[in-house]
Amino acid sequence: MFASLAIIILAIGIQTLLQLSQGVFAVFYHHALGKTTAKKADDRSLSFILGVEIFTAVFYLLTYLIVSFVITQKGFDNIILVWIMIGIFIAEAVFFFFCYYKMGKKYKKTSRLFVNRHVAEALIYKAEHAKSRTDTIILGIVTSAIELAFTLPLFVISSVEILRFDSRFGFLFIVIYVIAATAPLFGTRILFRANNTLAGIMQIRSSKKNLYRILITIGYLSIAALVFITGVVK
Amino acid sequence: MIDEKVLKNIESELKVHAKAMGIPSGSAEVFIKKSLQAVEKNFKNRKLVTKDDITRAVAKELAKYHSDLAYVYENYDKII
Repeated sequence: MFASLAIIILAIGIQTLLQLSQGVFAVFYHHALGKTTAKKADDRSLSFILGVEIFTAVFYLLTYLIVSFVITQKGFDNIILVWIMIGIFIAEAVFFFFCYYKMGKKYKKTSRLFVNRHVAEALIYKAEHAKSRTDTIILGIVTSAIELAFTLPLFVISSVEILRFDSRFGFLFIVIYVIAATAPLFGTRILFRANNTLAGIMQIRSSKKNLYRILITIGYLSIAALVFITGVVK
Repeated sequence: MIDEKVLKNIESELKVHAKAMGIPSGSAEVFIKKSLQAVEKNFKNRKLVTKDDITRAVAKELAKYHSDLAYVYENYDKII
């Protein structure tokens, strides 16, 4: 039970440290502030957060449904599935460490992420030109979808671990997970409301990127180790 | 030489950034104009000017008046 709880907490921790939706949200909020009033920007930002919540909730529940079906068929102790999960998390750790933030001298002072340049430009363009609530919600959904490569394994493993608990706790964990996924966006919103500018937020992002890189890599590796201990060693 | 249209676009973009950062519009307008005039003057005799050249030059000029605005303008597209 302790290992399951640790895996869920690690998954939530990694989810909150991922940077793509935070970056797009910061661009969106900054532009909304520049084009409208602070009240309107604040109001619109909630639509973006709602988009992220919708995507996370739908995908999480869908994953939970599939995982519970597989577990009913195969059981918790299917060694092949355990090894697949371990492999995925080691691969995620390596992928994250080397690819999530672009490496090299050129990107030293910035926090450029793994997304293709055209996709990043399209996201920035959409963040600048999102005029209605629907546009903003869709922007939140699309941003979360792009990060799915990093979040889907977290959805899967935390669903597996949640299934080990009583179903009432399970529901509570799902709610906590979905809320935690958007907590950093609320954090960014609070920073803007407290008169912080995009410059400050960008500087924080680029100064902390190596810390995040190490923390998240350790997080993925720790999940792999915990899955190994609980699934193989026991 | 830089096209007039390009400078106009940069000016309006900088005004949006300045408003978002809470810089008073009057002073922002003055130093944005001064910076762009200086950049235009610098590139007057150059036949070929790239987008990166302009971005760097505008950021350099802006930094004399408002370093945060210069930072945002130069690194805005590098946030994600």
